[in-house]
Parts: sequence; C-alpha cells; structure tokens
Amino acid sequence: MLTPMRPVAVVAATLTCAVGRGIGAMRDALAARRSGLTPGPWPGSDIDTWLGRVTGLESAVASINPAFDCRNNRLAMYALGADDFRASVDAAVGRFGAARCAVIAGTSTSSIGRTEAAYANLKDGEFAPRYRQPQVPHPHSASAFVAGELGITGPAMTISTACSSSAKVFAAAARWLACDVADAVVVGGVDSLCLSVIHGFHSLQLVSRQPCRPFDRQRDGINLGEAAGFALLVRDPGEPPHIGLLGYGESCDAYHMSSAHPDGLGAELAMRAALERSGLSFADIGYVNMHGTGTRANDDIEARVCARLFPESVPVSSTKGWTGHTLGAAGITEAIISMDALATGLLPGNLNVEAPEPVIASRLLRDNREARIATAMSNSFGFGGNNCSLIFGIADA
Amino acid sequence: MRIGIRGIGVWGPGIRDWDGFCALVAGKPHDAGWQAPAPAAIPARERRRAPLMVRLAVEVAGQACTNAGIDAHDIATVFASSMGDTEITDYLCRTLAGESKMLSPTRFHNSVHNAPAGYWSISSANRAPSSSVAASRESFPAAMLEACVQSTAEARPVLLVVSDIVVPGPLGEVYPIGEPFGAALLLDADVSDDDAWTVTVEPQPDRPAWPTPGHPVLAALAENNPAARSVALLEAVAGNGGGPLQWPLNGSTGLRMARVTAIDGE
Repeated sequence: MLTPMRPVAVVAATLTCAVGRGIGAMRDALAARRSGLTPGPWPGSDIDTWLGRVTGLESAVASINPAFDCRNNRLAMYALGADDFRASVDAAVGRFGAARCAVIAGTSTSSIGRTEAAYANLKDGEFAPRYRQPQVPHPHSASAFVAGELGITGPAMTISTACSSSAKVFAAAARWLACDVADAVVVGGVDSLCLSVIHGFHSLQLVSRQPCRPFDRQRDGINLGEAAGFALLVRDPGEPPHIGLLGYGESCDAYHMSSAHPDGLGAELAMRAALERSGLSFADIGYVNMHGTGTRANDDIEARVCARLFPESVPVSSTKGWTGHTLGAAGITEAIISMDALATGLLPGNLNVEAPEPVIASRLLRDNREARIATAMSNSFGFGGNNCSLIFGIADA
Repeated sequence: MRIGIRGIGVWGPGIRDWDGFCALVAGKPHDAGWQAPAPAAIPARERRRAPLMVRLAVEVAGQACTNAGIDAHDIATVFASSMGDTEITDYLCRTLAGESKMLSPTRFHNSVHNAPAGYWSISSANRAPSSSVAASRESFPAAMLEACVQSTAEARPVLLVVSDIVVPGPLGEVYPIGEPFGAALLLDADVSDDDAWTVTVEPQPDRPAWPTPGHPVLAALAENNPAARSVALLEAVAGNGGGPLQWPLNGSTGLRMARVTAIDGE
C-alpha cells in the first residue's frame, strides 16, 4: 500500500491546441461542442485523414530565437504567451530564484518534423545551412527552449514515454518538490504534427479517414493532433490552493510494444496507485477523462477496465474528438481539461458518438453535463505499455 | 539525498561488463574493438530483430541486476538517452523524404524514446513504473537526479540505464555522437553510511565543467557520447574513489555526488 501524498498546488496553467489558444478558447469550444478537427492531408502527405492542427503559428512567433526555430518550439512559445502564464512563472522565479525553479516537459515527436524537412532539402547529402541547429534535433529541445524562455536555470528534463509523456511530468514534479530539488516546477508537454506520426500510425492501420469517434461502435481510428500546455506546480503556494494534484500512478503493461494488455492490467495498476496516493476510492472520483483515442482495440480495453473498476455513477468521456490525439502532449492537454472541469463544473460529453460501446454506454457522457465535482482523474496510456493516471481535486490543506 | 550503488552494468567499445571496466581502470590494455551486445534477456527470435539501441540498454540493465544479485521484475526504471534510436530517426526521415513514404510499422513503434524500456519491461515481466528521459548532452546527470529522487521519494530501488549510439547520416554532422556506450546502475536510497553517496543539486555562479575521467580511453569516450558522461562516476566506483564529482544540469546548476565516507575524511 502506498502512503498518501501531500497535495501539490497547481497555481497556473495554459493550453494551446486545435480548438484555439488559451484556456478560454478551450472552455468555449467544450461548451459549444465545437471540435478543432479539420480535414487533412498534412502538407507533403497523401494520407486522407482529419487533423487537430494549431493555426497561426507561423506568423505569431516570428521573433523566436533562430537557434531553436522549429514548429515544436514555435508551438511551445505560442502557448507560453497565453493565459498570463509567463507572469505567473516570473512571480515564482522572483520569489524562489531562477536556480530553484525547474522544468519537466513531455514530448513524443519533439522536433522530428524539422529533421524531416532537413532530410527533404539536403544539399550535397548534408543539412542545408538553415537546418544546422544543434539545439533542435533532439528530444530535449522544447524543455531546454522553455527553460531559456522563462529564465529558469534549475534542473531541466524531458520525459518521453510516448503518449503518457506529459502525464508523467506531474508525478516527476511532485517527487522533485518532495525531495526539495526545486521550489517550483513548470511541467508541460509539446507535440507537433509531422510526417513521421501520420505515416507511422498509418503503417499500423490506426488512422481514421473521418473525425475520430472514441467509444463509438463504428470507430475506426485516431486523428493526430498537436498541442502545447504548461502548469506551474509549487510546494507552498502561500495561500490556500484551489486546484491540486492529489495522486499519481505509473505502471507498465509488460505485454507488447504497440498493443495494450488485453485486460488493461497496467492501466488498472496505474489507477489503483493514483487512488492509493490520494487516499480516495473509485467511487470518490467525480469525472474520468479517458485516454480514448478512437482505435478499435484500445478503446475496447479501456472501456472494459472502466466498467470493471468504477461504479456506474462515475461519468467518463474522451476529449480527443476536440483535440485529436496529441501524443506526447495528450497528458498535459487532458490534465488541464480535467482541472478546468473542477473549476467550471462543465463535464465535457464525448463528441461523435452515435452508438456507444455497450459495456460503457451507461456511464459515457454523450452530452455536456453541469456538475460540481471535487475530484477528476485523467488517464494516459502509451506505446511500450507505459501508463499514467492522475487525480486532481480541490486541495484546501 | 543519499544513494547506494548496488550493481553496475556497462558496455562500450572494448568494454563488455563491469569486471572488464574495472580491469581497464586498473591498467589492463584496452581492446578497441566494438562488438554489439546480444542480451540473453530478450528471446532469441526477438533479439535478432531488436534495434541496437534496445540491445545495448537491455544488456546493461540485465548486467546491473545480475551484478546486484537482485530479481529485476519489480524494480522501477529510469532509461535515458540524449538522442534515442538515431538509426530509426535516420530511417524515418530518409523514407519520408522519398516518394512512397511507406514506413515499417515495427520500426515506427520502435522509434519511441521508451522502446528500450518497453522491451525491458516485457522481457523481465516488469510492471513497475518506468520513465524514459532526455536532457541533450546533460542526459546522464538529469537521469541520475531523477533516479535518485524516485528511489528517495518512493522508498524503492531504481534501475538507471543510460545509452547513446552513433548518429548516422547527415543528422550526425549536426549532432554528433561517438561510439555506442551504455551503462546501468542499480540505485537504492536505503543505504548505510559506509556505502552512501550524497547527491545534491547545487546552484553555481557559472555552468559547471564536465568531470574528466583519468583514464585517457574513458576520457575520450565521455567527451564523445552523452551516456558516457556516467564514466567519471563508474571510474570513481571502480577505483574506490569518493569524488566529489560535479556535472552540469542546466544553466548554472550542477549535480554533485560525493561518497559520505570521503566527506568525513576531508
């Protein structure tokens, strides 16, 4: 049995995804049930699919440091500029000192889109001069860029565990704070659309030609998306916090590189660990934001796990019908949506469901619901069988 | 934080295990030949198809558990690599620059940064938490910090695995990495004074310099491969030294490690 953890205060957050820039845009889109998915194809690709793309990046951040210039870092910079997030971080840096602040960001694609472009534009077999950017083509690029942009000089690290990446950043930050590595941690995730993931998921026959339909009986795959989101976590918020991380759970399936455990054993382990750390039970959870990507197999497994573990009274939904599957940014995207459900009392109903999977039909939210909830769980499951479950709540301690 | 090192695995050019590493430090001539590992943990059929990055990480992970005399299956893991599987990155980008853009589904799912962690958890039937991390050239010190924090905060041993391979093709001109190197350390915060290292994050006026291994072969390895920045620590352990050692983490912050008994003797 794990020891219950002390809640970690989340004092600021920001999110930019297909539905728009900033948490306000996300709120409006959720309330209006307006999806951010648009028809493809992605430039340079012939794959017929829908995408959750962020618009306006090219012009909005023309001032980016050229050493870091690529779509992924532009997306990060665009997101940092919303929701007064920089002001909150500035205050933390001022209060604790730059070296006592840390960055932990998750990504899966990182900046590989830039490397794809460099390979498509080789000059005499080498990168053309404008692509020779040693600070871009590695998984840590966005975290290093964000630390520099925010003036943070404490430890910086990237977690890259496929689609659980930016959920696990919350677990890592809670531990860094508990061990006094830092006084404030900026967590987040950034993933941007690129050919590798569109053609890669297509090679696995997992890309839908239509808007994705998580948990619908006729669902036929995912839509790739892109997003950047950040949250500021502190040990001592100085005033009673409104939203806190109450628990986290991490596990592996130990089953297969790209197929989830058929009974969702790893997912269950992660959820149970998160509950133990929060001192809560399945029945105490007010809303579950599911991983729900829209693939045949994974939604089936996740639906059965939820039906097995949660009482029927706990509402669940996937929000990928708004954002697409943002891969390494899915964790932060859905963590912020879950935290916002605590703040607003709006539980988003799953988009694009005509006939829900029977096993989950009674608890799957199909329309938005207004309900004051005290806790929300967000689940993220990735390739390599890597799972993470987070519980957020109103922390008054 | 205080941490004990319970077991070590290592593989690199002319280095095939911890005993070989210790012999090199003790003055045995270096056999410069590189040979790819064939870890017994991965079933033979899978092993032939497993990428070098996976074989290297899984080999040293298995060695560290054997060296520690510990059953791997409930040990939490932190895998770290500066660049991940660069052979697959090169393959993906070459293919996508071509006409057909048809990718191999196996190579695609092996392209994730946590592919070595996935193979390791499957082959050791290990459902314990696992993180795969990166911090560019600072991947070793960042991952060492993360592993020590996990062991301390969760009160359980943590297996740290660092590996980096050569960056092929035109990408290698922009972000070069020398010969492949992997190391694994089984770390445990539950440790007596005699075996303990202190691990601290220390703000510095300037970015700290890298620690330089004394052995010229190891110094060259460390200079050219981010995972081999671990060699300064391995050399200290092999030679019964106590540090202190310091690595840059980010900006003007360093990670400092020193043996507790050595501090007492200062």
